[in-house]
Formats: sequence, structure tokens, C-alpha cells
Amino acid sequence: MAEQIFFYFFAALSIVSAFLAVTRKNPVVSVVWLISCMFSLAVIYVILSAFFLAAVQVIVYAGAILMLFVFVIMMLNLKTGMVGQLRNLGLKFVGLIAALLILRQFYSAIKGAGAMTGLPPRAAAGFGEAAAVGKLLYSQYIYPLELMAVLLLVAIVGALVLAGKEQS
Amino acid sequence: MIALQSLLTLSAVLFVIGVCGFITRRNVLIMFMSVELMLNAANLAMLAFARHNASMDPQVVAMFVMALAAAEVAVGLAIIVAVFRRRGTVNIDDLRNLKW
Repeated sequence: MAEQIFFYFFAALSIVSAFLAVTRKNPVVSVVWLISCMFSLAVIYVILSAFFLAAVQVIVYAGAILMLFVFVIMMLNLKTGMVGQLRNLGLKFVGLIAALLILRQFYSAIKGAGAMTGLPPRAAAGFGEAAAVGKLLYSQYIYPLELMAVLLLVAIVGALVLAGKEQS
Repeated sequence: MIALQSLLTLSAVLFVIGVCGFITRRNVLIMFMSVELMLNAANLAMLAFARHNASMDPQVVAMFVMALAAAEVAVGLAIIVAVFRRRGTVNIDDLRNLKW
């Protein structure tokens, strides 16, 4: 019961903060709402007994990625006239239509999957904990893991090359 | 007990909010944030299925998605900074040199 209350509360919180994140004019306010959304998703990951992923979500998303956004917004030093959006009604209409179409597809996919099925009441012991995820990462998924390390290295070097000292 | 369908619905709603933000907003930074939102919605669906099928593999995939998002954000924000230095704007409507 408590699980359900937590789930519905944080699901509502994540939807509201996601909506506010994409509609606010000021990017800094958007980032703060997005952080709130990520934290509520981390709580839902805990409810899904993905404990390690919840920790990674807080550390990597809320801690690193969104801080990067804040730093970049700070660096860009946008003037007040520039953060506002154009009043583009046609675009809003297109967005609405696309959203409705995609929602319709998702609805039929979820509906087509069959009757409401509850999650299994208890996960196995150690499910989703750091030890279990780590064992899987370093045995079965060792090559993707190494490739991911290379990708992150390339991303660091690429970011430095792109945004480093301006050469003129 | 939480139904699998309600988790999938939450994931779908978050994804659609991301799509909507990506289409309607003209600020590159907020478009980027919408992409992050879509990645998170996909992760949520993956973790719901992981719990439902009592399988750990989707959790590993979700972990890779997070690493991918980190790499993408680093490069993307570097591109935004470079473009802003040269053009002095983050409005996508002003950056249409490649659009024909």
C-alpha cells in the first residue's frame, strides 16, 4: 500500500515537473524542474528495486549532466531578450498533433499487451543491487562496457576540441 | 501492487512530453533537455520490464543508456558553446545555414 502511494505521488511529480521543464521560458528554471523530475524517477527506480540504477540516476543525471547544463547556461550568459521563445502557433499545433499521434500508438501498444498485470510482489534477493549489476557488467557485458569506456573518452576529447580555446 | 501498465503509461507520457518539447521549443538547450527526458522515459520502461520479468539484463542496458546520455550531453553542449561563440545565439531559427 505504501509502495502504491509513493509510486503515484512520484509519478505525478515527475509528470508535472517534466511538463514545467519543457514549458518554462528561463532555461535555468527548466533545469531545476528537470532535476526534480530526475529525482522522482530515481524514487520510482527504487520502487522497482533497481537500487544501483537509482543511485546512478542521482549521481550521473542530477549530479553531472544537469550541472553541466547549468554551467553551460551560466557560460553563455544569455541576455533577457534571447531566452524568450517565439510565439509560433503553427509549431505548437504540430507539436500537439505529433504528441496525440504518438500517445495513440503507445495507448494501443499498452492496451494490446493484455489485461492489467501487477508486478511480482517480491524481487529475488540481491536483485538490482550493485553487486549483481556489477557481476553482469563485468562478465556477460564486458565488451559493451569497454566500448562504452572508449565512447566516453572520445566524448571528452571531442568536447575539449569543440569548446576549448578558440583558434583564429 | 503496481500494475505494469501504469509504469508503461508513465513512461509514455514522459516520452510524449519530451517529443512535444523538442518540437515546440526553439531554444537549443531546452531541446536538449527534452532529449534527456525521452531517454529517461525509455529507461523507465526498460526497468519496469526488468522488474516484471525478474531479469537483470535491462538494468545493464539502462546503465549503458545513461553513459550514452552523458557522452551525448558533453559533445552536444560543446557544440552549442562553439556555435554560441561564433553566432551569438541559441535560437534554432537563427541557425539555418544548412537548411535548404
